[in-house]
Amino acid sequence: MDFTKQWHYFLAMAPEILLTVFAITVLLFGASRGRNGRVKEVRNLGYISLLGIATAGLANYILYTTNVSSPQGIVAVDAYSLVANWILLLSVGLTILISIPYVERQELQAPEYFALLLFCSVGLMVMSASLDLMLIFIGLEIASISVYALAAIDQRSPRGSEAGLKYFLLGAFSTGIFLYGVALVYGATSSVNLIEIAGAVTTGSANESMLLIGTIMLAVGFCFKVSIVPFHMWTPDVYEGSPLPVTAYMSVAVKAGAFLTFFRVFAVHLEGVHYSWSDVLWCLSILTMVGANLVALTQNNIKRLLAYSGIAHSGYLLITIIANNATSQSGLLFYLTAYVLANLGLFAGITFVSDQSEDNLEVENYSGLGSNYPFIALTLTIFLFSLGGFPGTGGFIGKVLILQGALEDNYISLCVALVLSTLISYWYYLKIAWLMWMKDPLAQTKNESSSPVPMPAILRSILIFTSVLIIYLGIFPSKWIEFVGLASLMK
Amino acid sequence: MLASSFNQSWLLHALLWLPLIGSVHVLVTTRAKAKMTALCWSSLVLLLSISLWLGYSPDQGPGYQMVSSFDWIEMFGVSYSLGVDGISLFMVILTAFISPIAILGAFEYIKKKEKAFYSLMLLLEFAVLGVFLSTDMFLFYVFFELTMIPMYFIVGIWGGDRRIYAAVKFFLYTSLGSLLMLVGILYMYTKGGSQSFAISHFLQIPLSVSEQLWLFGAFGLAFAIKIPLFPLHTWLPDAHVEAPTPGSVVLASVLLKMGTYGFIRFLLPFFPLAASAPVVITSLMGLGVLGILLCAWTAAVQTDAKKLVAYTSVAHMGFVVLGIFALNENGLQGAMIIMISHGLSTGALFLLLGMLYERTKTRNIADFGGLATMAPWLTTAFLISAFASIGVPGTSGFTGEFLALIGAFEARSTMAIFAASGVVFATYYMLPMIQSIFFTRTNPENIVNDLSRREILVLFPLIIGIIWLGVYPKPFMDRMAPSLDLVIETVEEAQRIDRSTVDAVGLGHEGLVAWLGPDNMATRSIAACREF
Repeated sequence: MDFTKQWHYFLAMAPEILLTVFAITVLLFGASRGRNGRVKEVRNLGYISLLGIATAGLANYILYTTNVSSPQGIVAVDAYSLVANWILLLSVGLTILISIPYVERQELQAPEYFALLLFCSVGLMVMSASLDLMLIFIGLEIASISVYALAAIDQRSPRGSEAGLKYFLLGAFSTGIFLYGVALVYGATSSVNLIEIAGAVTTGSANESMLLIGTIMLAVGFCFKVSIVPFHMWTPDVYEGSPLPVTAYMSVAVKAGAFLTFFRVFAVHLEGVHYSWSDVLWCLSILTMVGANLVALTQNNIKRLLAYSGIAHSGYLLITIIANNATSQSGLLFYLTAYVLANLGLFAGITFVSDQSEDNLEVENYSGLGSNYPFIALTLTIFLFSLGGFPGTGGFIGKVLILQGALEDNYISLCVALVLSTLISYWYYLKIAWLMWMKDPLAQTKNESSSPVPMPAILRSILIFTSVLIIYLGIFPSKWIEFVGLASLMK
Repeated sequence: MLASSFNQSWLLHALLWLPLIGSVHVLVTTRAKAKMTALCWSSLVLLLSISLWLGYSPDQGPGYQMVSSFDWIEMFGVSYSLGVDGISLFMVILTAFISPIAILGAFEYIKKKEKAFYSLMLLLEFAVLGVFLSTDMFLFYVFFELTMIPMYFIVGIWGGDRRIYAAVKFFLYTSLGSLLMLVGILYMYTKGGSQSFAISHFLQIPLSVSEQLWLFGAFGLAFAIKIPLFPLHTWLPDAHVEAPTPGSVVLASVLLKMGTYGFIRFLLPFFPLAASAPVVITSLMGLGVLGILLCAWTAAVQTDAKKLVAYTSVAHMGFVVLGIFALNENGLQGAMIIMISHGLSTGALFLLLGMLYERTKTRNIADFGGLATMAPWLTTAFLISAFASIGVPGTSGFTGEFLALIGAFEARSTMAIFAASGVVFATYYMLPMIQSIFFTRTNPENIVNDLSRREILVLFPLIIGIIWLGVYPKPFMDRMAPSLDLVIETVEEAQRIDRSTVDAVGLGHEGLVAWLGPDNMATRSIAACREF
């Protein structure tokens, strides 16, 4: 495929287009039917969405195996964007599986819910594949607006509305800054195409001071989306107020999509002005790793705890952008994969413990889980150890790759900060583990424990799937490292 | 014999993986059968380790034997490679020897969640064997970290009242060191051209003196916490007191040895210039001596018998560090013998205290009294173990401490003199405890039965080991000597080269820069020396 014909361009966007078609189908399907037969409706809509994801995945696979010689258009069809699509499709697929029992139980508006999830994924996929700042902006907006709506989708929940509004106000503000950055970069280089910008930067034809201000503003926009300290203020509140599966989705897919774009823009195309942004990001990274982990120590609500844990992980991932070499790019992709699996697995477990609703969200509710539900507690322990980066799990290999990438460019200080903040994070990951295994169940849950509630089959299969994959990535990482290594954007 | 006829690398693979298979087997079997299953698997490993002892030939030179290597993560040069030499041989055998004893010793002590317990014990054995058998730094690190997880759960689930505090303290404390060591390992890997994690490759990486000192710090901290070296020892008494008896036994006998093993295996040969720097030697030997003396004094005022024994562990490890940094054959051999001896005697003491606890539900020294008349066999076993711990001639403790002190005397005589007084203090804390537990007036509330058959089976091998090592240590020393000599040679060789580069020029640093150019390794290392 060499883009000599018009329809080649449609093929290049096939995964995104197919996903959009399915999203619209889901929306129309819901609109065309009444409000009766809810349970079945939720299931069917969920399965249609999954079918859409599978179709998009198939298209992505075909694109991956086709030899594409991409022109310097506004969309990149390279291995990087296709691997990014895998990661994003995986996260939205698992999120939809987690959502099905939740949406059933909470009686949310299923058609809108699933359609918004799919639209958001389309936005993220467009964003991570685009070679044009305007297209990045459009993708960012598609994704963001869908998530604003998703956060507030439960109309009966005042906290949900609060979360949606908060996210919307702060998000709009950061998008404004991002757009201002785009304008300044355009002013400095007279282009919004990333390749042309990179060319202008290397030849020195760009207006330097304007470029630098624009670059920092772009960085601020991205840092807001991936919640880097001090642009993280919205994260805990929004995570806490949103419905559980939406929190899960925000913590993995939105973060992954934004990071993949962040990496492409900064580490690849703005590499020429590395000196201007690397020191700023260096400071932010250390601040994020240490600050977020310290604050997480004091959290008792599991959603807020995971919000801070997610912020800390953003800090780790930021190192890959600062180090910008091939190893750290593999590190980014590998780490994101392991993070997506572990976090979504954890959220599947949380969804079960909180009874597919917004109850039992204190960490104390996990007391004695090991004696009542040994299998669930075991898988949750695996996810926690993976997030902590323990050997034998995918999280460990990801961390090693990040450290290795940083060492290749001699960022020893970042490595030391990473491992020391990891040490802090052990405390709260272990806290959940010790509550599960070493404490007796709480008094009020003890009565229920006489007849353990069975876990929905969908959640159980997610737990099995993600924990097996995490262990596999931890013990036999070669294949996946090789695979993400092929997606290298580095010359 | 099997040994000569074919390649025996299968032996190491079997040794390593059998405990893991056993661990899974225990999980799927019924609750009633769990303990016997675990005992069978660990005994099988013990049998294999005996054939390892027979198959290992000391005449083959100091290097690794029975080596085998498979690619694991090819693009990073990580391999799954195993081997055994005169240093790791004894650690492997000690681990294989202690595990079935600890499992057998747990039969009466562990009453809840038995399947999980025995499964974790076997998992722990798997991880520890991996630490001692691997000849690849990445593999080593994975196992090194993996040992913490089962131990964390063993202390945290089956421990005493403050078990969670102790388990988390243990975990965080030991992680601090190992995480920094990970950065150190990756730094060396990058420095060595990002090709291989093999130990043999790491030995050849050229490092300047300042790099060696930094890396020595990173690796040293990890091992020093594990040992634990004074003043990093505060996690140990908590962990020991709260851990269930079998957990304490494995912790004291095997897990602490990972630290001293790391000193001998990695610190000395990887960073010879740092390890032989006078400042480093003096400060580490000094910490060893401080550990011996201060922990002996602290032990003397303990009222909890288990805590007392825990502090003696720190004191013993002080002797080991003293012996290692004497950097001569006597010192290193002494250190190795103390490592084995401590594994046997402290393991026995913890088991005996566990047996007393099962009978009386107390560990407070003052609550016992006059047990010698009621339980003569138990008393005898306790006396022998305690004598080994003190270092009375004829027991294993004497052989090791004597050699370590001779070695230390050759290197730093003042240190050795202070350390030797530690042996006196050992009697000062051990004998009063023995007296008040076994010999003073009988406490009428205590009715203590003598050892049961199972308990005799648990203690007998340990006692045999203690006496064998005390009376005839030659088979042990013959096997460890070549490998230890190689370590010493590596250090001396590096010093020689370092000195000769300076002497050969005789012009001082400026001349050297003129002669070799500013970017030369030697020039840079001397410049770094001066900065330091």
